Amino acid sequence: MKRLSLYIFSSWISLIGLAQVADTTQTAPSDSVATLPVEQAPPQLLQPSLLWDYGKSITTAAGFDQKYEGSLTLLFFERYYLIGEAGKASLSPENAIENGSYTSEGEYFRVGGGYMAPINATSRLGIGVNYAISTFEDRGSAWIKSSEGVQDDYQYNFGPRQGEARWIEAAITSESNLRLNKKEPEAKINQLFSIGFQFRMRFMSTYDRYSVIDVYSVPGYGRVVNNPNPALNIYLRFHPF
Amino acid sequence: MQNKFYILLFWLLVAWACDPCDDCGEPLVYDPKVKLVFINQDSAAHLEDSISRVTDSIDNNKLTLALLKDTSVFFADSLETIDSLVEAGETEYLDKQEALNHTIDSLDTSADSLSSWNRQLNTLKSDLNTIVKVISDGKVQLDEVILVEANKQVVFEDTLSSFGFPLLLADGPGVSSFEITLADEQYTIAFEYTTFEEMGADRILRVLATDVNVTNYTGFDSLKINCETCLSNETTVTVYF
Repeated sequence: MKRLSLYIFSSWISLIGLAQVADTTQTAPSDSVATLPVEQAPPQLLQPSLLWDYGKSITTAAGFDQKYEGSLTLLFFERYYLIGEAGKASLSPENAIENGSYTSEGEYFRVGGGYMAPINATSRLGIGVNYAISTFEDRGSAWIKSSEGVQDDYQYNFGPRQGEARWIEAAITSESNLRLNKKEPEAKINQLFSIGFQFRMRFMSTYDRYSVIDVYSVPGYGRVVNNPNPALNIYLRFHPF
Repeated sequence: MQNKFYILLFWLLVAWACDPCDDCGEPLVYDPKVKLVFINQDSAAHLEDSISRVTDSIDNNKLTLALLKDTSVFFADSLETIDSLVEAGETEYLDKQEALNHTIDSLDTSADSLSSWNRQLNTLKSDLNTIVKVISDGKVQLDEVILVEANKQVVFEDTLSSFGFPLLLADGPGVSSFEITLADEQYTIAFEYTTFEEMGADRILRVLATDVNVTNYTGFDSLKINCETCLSNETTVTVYF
């Protein structure tokens, strides 16, 4: 039920974002009617921005897996971007070992680039490729109880094991500016934040493997049994300049 | 608004489908086992001898019965001749007529008794064959089984044709010895095997035993193992006592 509440809450946050996009689309024509045509300004050489994956923070706040992720984006000529992402996660997938427990924790980094095109005055759509590396440590236990009651419980422990994984990602991004001041569309605060989502398809390249119980989850990638492994991130972007 | 509802519904369905299991983390209730079949070879051989003797008696009785019937038919023919003479007025044959009638009645009575005895022998033979089949199937009731290393009793309440003897979950080479009481007789058997852990596709960690060998036994006439390199759960040890 706790998990279900988390999903409902994150859905609600996402729908607010969608509503923002819808509002922007509806109000754009009236804005264009009200303003006089002006000469197009040359595209800015560089626009840095910071990105916060609030979906992961919600998961952490709800008491499930601990995940934190942020990134720095450098947008060149308002179209081409380079991105560096860093994250930290402690994953405890319940069904990694049905008769035991499993934890994988560590850090991960991604670097990548791509193309992001504006689709209207406030929204953008992007496509890009990332290369990611994760260094992590996993451990776990499994328990067996005697069916005949003739012996003590058997416990199998493993780890901590140090591991590394590398993978590549194809990412599609959609985002829209947050209109916090609806009365003044041109207000500075309406240019500071944007909200969006990113759909990633992750392709595992290599990861350290072990006998008996192999690595199950990699921070930043998720379950290695899924390859490719899709993911959806929801984020808030801050444009300081 | 309706579109947002459908998006939310879709999101919740995906979340529900991806939710991990509720009973994860519970210990697996399990023991690796080796199957034992008990064949009471001495009793079976003794019964086979009895069945052979009963079969011989039945065959002899059949021959005697045929002889009695032939004799009875012969005397019946003689009686017809004497009857015709007596009817013709030759009264000196009356004594012989009475003697023949008495003899034929005695022969018929003996034949009936012999037939009845043969039916009883056939029933006895059928019962003995059933008992031999039960013994050959190994259906026995074990009075008591003790796992020596754990000093614990293994309970088998029913009469069965095979018994799963639990093996100790050792790390690496394992030894499990049993003291068995069967029909007030004491027997012992000791197994040596190798254990290893295996993670199944169902994400359950099991401890399996393989290369099961009988290192020592007392009380049994002989024994036979179907496979010495199989997993323990595929190994059947047939003991003859």
